[in-house]
Amino acid sequence: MIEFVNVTKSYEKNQADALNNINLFIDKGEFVFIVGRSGAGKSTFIKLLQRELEPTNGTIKIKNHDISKLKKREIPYLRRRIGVVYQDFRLLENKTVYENVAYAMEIIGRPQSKIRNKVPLALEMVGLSDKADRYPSELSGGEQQRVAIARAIINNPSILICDEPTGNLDPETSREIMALLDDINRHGTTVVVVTHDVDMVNEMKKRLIVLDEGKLIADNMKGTYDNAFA
Amino acid sequence: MPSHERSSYLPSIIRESLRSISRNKLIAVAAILSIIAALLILGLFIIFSVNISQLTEMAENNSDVKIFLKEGVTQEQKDNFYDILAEDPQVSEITYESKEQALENFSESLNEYSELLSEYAGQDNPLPDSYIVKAHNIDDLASIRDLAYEYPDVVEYVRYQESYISSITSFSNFIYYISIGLVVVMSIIAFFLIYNTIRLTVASRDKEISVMKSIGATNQYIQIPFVLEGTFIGLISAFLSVLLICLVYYYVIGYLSGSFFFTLGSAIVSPENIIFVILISFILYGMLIGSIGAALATRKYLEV
Ligand SMILES: Nc1ncnc2c1ncn2[C@@H]1O[C@H](COP(=O)(O)OP(=O)(O)O)[C@@H](O)[C@H]1O
Ligand SMILES: [Mg+2]
Repeated sequence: MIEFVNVTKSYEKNQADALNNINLFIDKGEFVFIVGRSGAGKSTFIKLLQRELEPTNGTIKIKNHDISKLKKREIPYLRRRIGVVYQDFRLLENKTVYENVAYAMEIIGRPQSKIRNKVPLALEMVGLSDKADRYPSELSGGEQQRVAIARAIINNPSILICDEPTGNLDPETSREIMALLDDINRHGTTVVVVTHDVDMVNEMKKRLIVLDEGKLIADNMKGTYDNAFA
Repeated sequence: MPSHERSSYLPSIIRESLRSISRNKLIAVAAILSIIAALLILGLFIIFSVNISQLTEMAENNSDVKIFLKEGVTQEQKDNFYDILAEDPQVSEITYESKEQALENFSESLNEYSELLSEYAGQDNPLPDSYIVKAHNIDDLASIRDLAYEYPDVVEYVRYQESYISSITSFSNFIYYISIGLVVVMSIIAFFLIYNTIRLTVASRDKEISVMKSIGATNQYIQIPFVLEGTFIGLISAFLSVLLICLVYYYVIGYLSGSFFFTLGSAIVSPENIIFVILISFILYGMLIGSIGAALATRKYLEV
């Protein structure tokens, strides 16, 4: 599903590589944590996947397609297959919960009839059916992140990427969000979660990839952060 | 399940455009004013040039030389002279005006004072017979005059008005270049103001754009609302300009037809005939400058 071959990314010539010679393979339907200190290269990893950035060296394949070969006008279509959730939710404040989710379908030109059918289902999946007409400012952090997740999966992406999805949430809410992501993963979506949250990683016992100063230093199945460095 | 009476997407981007125009009021107003300035110059120029060409045409149609014949010239001499004129390829039309007709025309032109001339009727008529000659090309009138003077036994005098056409033409050329220059300058200013208005809007919707991009909206799709906003600004300016032009035009017509420039006033093309052309060209101009300015402003921003 996702393949990095000798991927190096450096932003500036006289600066250390943000990512250095990364090789990894993530299979269809996997749930993967990527951890690492601040500045380890986690966000760079996500931006490369979305083709917001291009690698300095190496190739990145998604579903066996080298995404560096995509033409500019093809990039939006790559992004439609990768849902992304951010730490700061990135909801549109002047739109309701329903509208925020519907928006993701509107902007890729889905018909209103499809939108009316699908949005309630997605809101149900994230447990927000009763908040459809609320505005983001009227929701708790956890609820806002659920809206963002609903928006990220509404177009059935094959990959869901989360950049510190629980970074702004308390432990209890974080656990609920992780359970939701796990649920989405069980429905067949490949899920990649970038996080700082060591407790969560230890609890979930999923595949764990550790980045440090741009290098991949550990990649353990059913990993916990404690034994990642063992 | 809550009901979702959803407005469709288009009205919502129109609403969003209006909202963002009002958010960046000052620069949007500056953009609108500069487009109006450009369009007013353009409009006045259109009105001016249409009227000038009408005036020129009228002047051309009415230009002639009047060849007064000597007292006592025989019918044969008249006919011979007529043939000479008729053979000249420059001549388009020859009208004979007998002294009786001349008197009649003259007294008609005097209206209520016409009986002053009654004593001249019959033998005492002092007016000569004449040929009124028109040319295909008004520039040839002078050479027709010279031709007539070659027959001094027939021709008493030739009345020839130095043509004011060529001075009209050169004056209107001058106005033409000035107007084009002003329209170009104003368009450039208008373009940059629109460009900056839209850039501000784009910047203020930074977050929304990054969301749209990460969800996979195409650049063209992201551009639509901004281009619409620019087009709006152009359209608003176009309509305001048409309104202003109409006011100016009616005012000028009212002034001219009430004044002693009456003949000039009657030469003015009535606004109904021009306003449609102005409306269409203004709308096109406004939409083009607005949408192109906006498209370029967003394109630069969307490059990622
Ligand atoms: N746009 C950029 N220009 C230059 N350097 C950058 C840029 N973005 C990130 N970096 C650098 O690249 C390294 C990795 O950053 P990032 O991927 O954001 O790390 P993380 O998300 O793990 O905190 C850091 O040293 C950071 O300073
Ligand atoms: Mg980061």
